[in-house]
Amino acid sequence: MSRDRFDILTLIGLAGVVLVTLFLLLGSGGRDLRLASGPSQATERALQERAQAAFFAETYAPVEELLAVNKPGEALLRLEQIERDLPAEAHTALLRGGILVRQGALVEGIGEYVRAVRSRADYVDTRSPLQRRAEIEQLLATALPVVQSQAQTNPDNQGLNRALRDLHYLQSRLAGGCE
Amino acid sequence: MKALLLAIICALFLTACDQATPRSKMRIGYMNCNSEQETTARFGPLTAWLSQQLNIDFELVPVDTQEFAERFSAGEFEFTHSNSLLYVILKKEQQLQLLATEKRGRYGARTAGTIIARKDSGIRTFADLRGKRMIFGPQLAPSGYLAQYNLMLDAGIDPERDLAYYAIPHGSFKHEKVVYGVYFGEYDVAAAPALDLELMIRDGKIFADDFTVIGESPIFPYCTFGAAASVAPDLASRFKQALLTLTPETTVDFGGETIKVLGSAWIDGFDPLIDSDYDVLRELAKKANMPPYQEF
Amino acid sequence: MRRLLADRHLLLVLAAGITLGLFGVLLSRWGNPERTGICVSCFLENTAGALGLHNNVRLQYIRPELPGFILGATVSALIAGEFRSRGGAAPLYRFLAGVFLIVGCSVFIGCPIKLFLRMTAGDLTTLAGFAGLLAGGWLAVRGLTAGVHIGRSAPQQGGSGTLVPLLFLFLLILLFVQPLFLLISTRGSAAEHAPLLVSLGVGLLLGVLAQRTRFCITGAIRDLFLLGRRAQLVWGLLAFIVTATLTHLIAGSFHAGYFGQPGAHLDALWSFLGMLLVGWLSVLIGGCPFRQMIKAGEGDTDAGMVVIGMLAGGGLVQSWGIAATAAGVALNGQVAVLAGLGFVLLLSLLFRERSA
Repeated sequence: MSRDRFDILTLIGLAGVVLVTLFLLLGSGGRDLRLASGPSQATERALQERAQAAFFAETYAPVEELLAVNKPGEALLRLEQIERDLPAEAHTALLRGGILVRQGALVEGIGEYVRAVRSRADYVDTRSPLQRRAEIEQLLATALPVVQSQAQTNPDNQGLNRALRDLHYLQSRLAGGCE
Repeated sequence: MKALLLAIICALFLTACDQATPRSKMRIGYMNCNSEQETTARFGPLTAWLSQQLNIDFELVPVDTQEFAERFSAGEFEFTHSNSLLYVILKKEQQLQLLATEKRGRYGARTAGTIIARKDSGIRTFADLRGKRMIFGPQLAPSGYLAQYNLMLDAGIDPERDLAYYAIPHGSFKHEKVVYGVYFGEYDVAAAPALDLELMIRDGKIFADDFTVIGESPIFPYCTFGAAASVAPDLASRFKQALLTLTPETTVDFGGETIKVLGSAWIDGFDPLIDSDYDVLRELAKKANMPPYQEF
Repeated sequence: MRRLLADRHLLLVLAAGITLGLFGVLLSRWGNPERTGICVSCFLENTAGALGLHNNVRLQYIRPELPGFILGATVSALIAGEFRSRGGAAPLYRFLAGVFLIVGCSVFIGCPIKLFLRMTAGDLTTLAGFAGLLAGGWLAVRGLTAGVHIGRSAPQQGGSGTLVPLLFLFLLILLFVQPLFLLISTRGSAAEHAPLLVSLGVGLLLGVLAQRTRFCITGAIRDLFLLGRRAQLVWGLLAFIVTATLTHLIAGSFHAGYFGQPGAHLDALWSFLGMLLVGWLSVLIGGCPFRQMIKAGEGDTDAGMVVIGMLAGGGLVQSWGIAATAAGVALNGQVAVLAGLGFVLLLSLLFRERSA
């Protein structure tokens, strides 16, 4: 294949661009130019996770304290207060779910757990510091047989059917998969 | 062609005849929470919707709590919407049929009663209640009176002897008055329904931090729809099914407006509880020597 | 049967099916998400996330299996002298087809390979998707026999067939170098992965085998309708299913049931329609998502456009809330599937060769 002057100049230009790029990349010793403009992704994520954990610990401390002294009703009211400042927060739903189940409002409690997991999957993630897998597994172990048998004997009960669907959702999320 | 025209005209007449057939009339007695006006405004759309669904002209009858059992016995209404204690009373005395239980608040179709005090009052335990001024809700209110009365009895406090005195507010909005009574220092302790506290916090009327909960009762069924024993089982069943199909999106044309049925009645939905779910309330009534188990 | 087994190509097809079934299950045991040992659509969603095409922090990772598939196919095609830059058959339609393939897969939660990996683990919710895939394949065969052909491929100048393999080589380099702009999930399903070299090795092996055998899930379904049991791909698919089932049973990951299955939802209608879209579209454009990757590795720029479309789709289905979750299929997902079905119908009208 014959090369004219245009081809040769283009080839030289291409080789130059490749060489300069390689020089920049290799010469940087792996340094990322973005370093100059802020922290790394890993740092940002670690910060975010720790800030989130600290924020929840502080915000929900009164609720946890009330639960520790066996005052679930007052804890529930406290959550209502928190909800005014942080509407639709998954952690509120998670704690409320636990209280409602403990108080005997099983269907409503299960619904709150589902709301929590749907908006923050961390609660079923083994890697997350927020995970509550054991608590949700315990809920499934105790509630599923009860709700299943009640739903079978009352097939028209929408609340029970919804609770059964919710429990199956939690079961599926605990089982893993890619989503 | 003429025959076809004739057939269409006849069909139109027949349809018109069908529409002209008068619908049967029945009455639903609604227990007043605050006032007749409020009851009428709340439940008007629901009553109109039920009329539409069941093809019956339902009349809304607002009834005061204290007169509810008496007027029901007198046959003034066939269907009831009342608190769960009135259901228990009418079930025992008049064989009221259970239709559906109203859902409202975090506990769904159930509710609870709490005893509250101001956080800065120093009152922390049941023992602290001795010699204090207390305000209860109306006497037939399961979550405003009965539940708290039992809580105190269980804790060894006799409300009749151990308190300095107790009172029941007059007029409407009794449950809110009870909460404000404690908040503004008129009383030391109050018997407040968990639902009202929840709603008042949600609406920003009070702060949870301002109160401490001395005790909370177990949960029991909330307001209940019932049907007189004379109501045909088929109609009672259709009434129940209609209630259970209601969703927050269900609307009805009422007073020239399209209105959300549940929203207007301050209801989240209905659950088909069974009569044995009310046993917890029966136990409370027995222990507190309250109707329908009252002994003199 | 004996004659069939004496056929060297058939043996290779069976080997491809067995390898896919075996490693499809084992990769999950080795660290990939449950029932997601191999899933082209999930992996593309993860890769799109790693490149910043969506912000679901739980789905960001360049899955090394993908470069493995493509580069394995490239090496195999080069050795066999089958690497040819070709394409030009309605490229932008193919790009869109790629987007809609991922829409269908994400609404079902998984590509056709994952459908069988889930099904062979006892997930009964996949039956609706399986029916949809068969129905889609059948509709596409009806279309093909009625003269629907999505353009004509022609040799391409400038070595354009190398671009997609080079892109995935670049992604592989990124994965090894891990520059700071690359997003890698630290939790969620994208944080679950088999060791990098194992995933890459399996990807390369499958890339080579699939290139040699033309292994394709929807191709097998198409051939089943056209040729019946004479079709070799059908035997390959059966080998895949049998191997995956046995491996699930041995590995203890077989749990038959309808409820509580990992990465599954109960919206049977939308599972059916999602896979109907995938089956229909795949047969019309000449292969399932996996086959498109292999063809792109062989220098087929049409398949390359589908792959790029799928990568873009991987970003879109997450950013626009199209992808289903265990809670079900959101309205966005339902509308997207219907739009996809409209797209296939439009293709069938626009690309029909009618006799004069």
